[in-house]
Amino acid sequence: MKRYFVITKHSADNSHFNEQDLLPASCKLITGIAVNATVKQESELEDDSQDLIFPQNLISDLLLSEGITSLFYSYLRTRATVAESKDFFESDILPEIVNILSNNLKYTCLSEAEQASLNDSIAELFNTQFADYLYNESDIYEKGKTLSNLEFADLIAQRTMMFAYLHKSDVFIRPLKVYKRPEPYECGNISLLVNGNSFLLRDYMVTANRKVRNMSKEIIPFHEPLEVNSNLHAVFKSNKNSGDNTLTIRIYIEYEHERVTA
Amino acid sequence: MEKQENIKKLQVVKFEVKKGQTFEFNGNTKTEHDRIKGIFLRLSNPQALPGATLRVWVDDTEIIPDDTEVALLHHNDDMSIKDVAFPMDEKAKNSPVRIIYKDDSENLAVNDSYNVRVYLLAEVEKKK
Repeated sequence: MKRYFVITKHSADNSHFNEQDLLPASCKLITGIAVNATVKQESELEDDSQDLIFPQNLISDLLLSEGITSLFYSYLRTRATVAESKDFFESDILPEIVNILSNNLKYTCLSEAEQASLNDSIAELFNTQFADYLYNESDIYEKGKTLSNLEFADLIAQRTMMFAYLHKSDVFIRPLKVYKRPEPYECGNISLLVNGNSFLLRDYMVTANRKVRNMSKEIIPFHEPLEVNSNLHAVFKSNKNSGDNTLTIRIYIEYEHERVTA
Repeated sequence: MEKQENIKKLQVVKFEVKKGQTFEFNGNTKTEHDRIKGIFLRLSNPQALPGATLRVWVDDTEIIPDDTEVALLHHNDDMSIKDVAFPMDEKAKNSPVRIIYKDDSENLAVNDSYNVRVYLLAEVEKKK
């Protein structure tokens, strides 16, 4: 079975190092090696956003509400002119619609504050633009004259859906903070020798902050039989790119471990 | 000798790690599992990966040595579980599992705490 051994080294202020470490006694055959360097840097936060799924069932709640359909009824029967009708729509129907939409659209991925701000932006969008959209672009007043109650409620629901869909990229989003990864850079060369004479790596370019893959992909495979009590000599030459940051270099040694059976 | 296909099982260990915390988990493998064949983990916030290290023992054997970067064992969405699992072969059957997880995310864009899930790939030997 494979076993691993980790040697951690630090290089502060672009310093070089030249150090020896004793390998574990059971390490008699090295089968691979991996080197990874990281630099602790302050992360930068960037604003980003993530699209929320558009609520397909948006209007089903709307049509279920008796309050709304009865409002449509009084709207249909009592308004004579476009202006009057629009006023009534804004004062009575719109708040109902906004109310239903903001109470029923719940995203489980959002926190309470995010949900509240989504509700606010839905309310703001509908309060400021929806009446104009219905009356100017959809010509709802003329169309409404020939429709029955149910058909009219359906029409408004459809238009609500279309309007919401048109503005989905403004409203149905979740604001995110994204951590900007520090840029990878070449930080120096490392050489690894066993017992001071046999090179495992020679002037291997170390890249700090690169994206680390899985252990099995990181390991550079080779076979190096060792004597008992071997030591590993690590020589790192910094190329002075690290500035004030402290570089942490980890050397992973994969070796064959013989199971001791009692 | 006949080759038997063993039944594959999974055991999940979940714990919450706070910023800058060193978390030690002590538990046991499941009695009904025979062997632990692999290990990998996932963080609820992968932004906490840089600098985080861990050490793992199963059945009192050190599987992952001290100061191993978590990133090397982390499962990304673009890999299959088979590829990502860190191979091992230790006895299960209620053997002790010890995990020491060291967070190092204090200067990173990470919430105060996040969840770590450690997956143990287990096998149950098929009985004839």
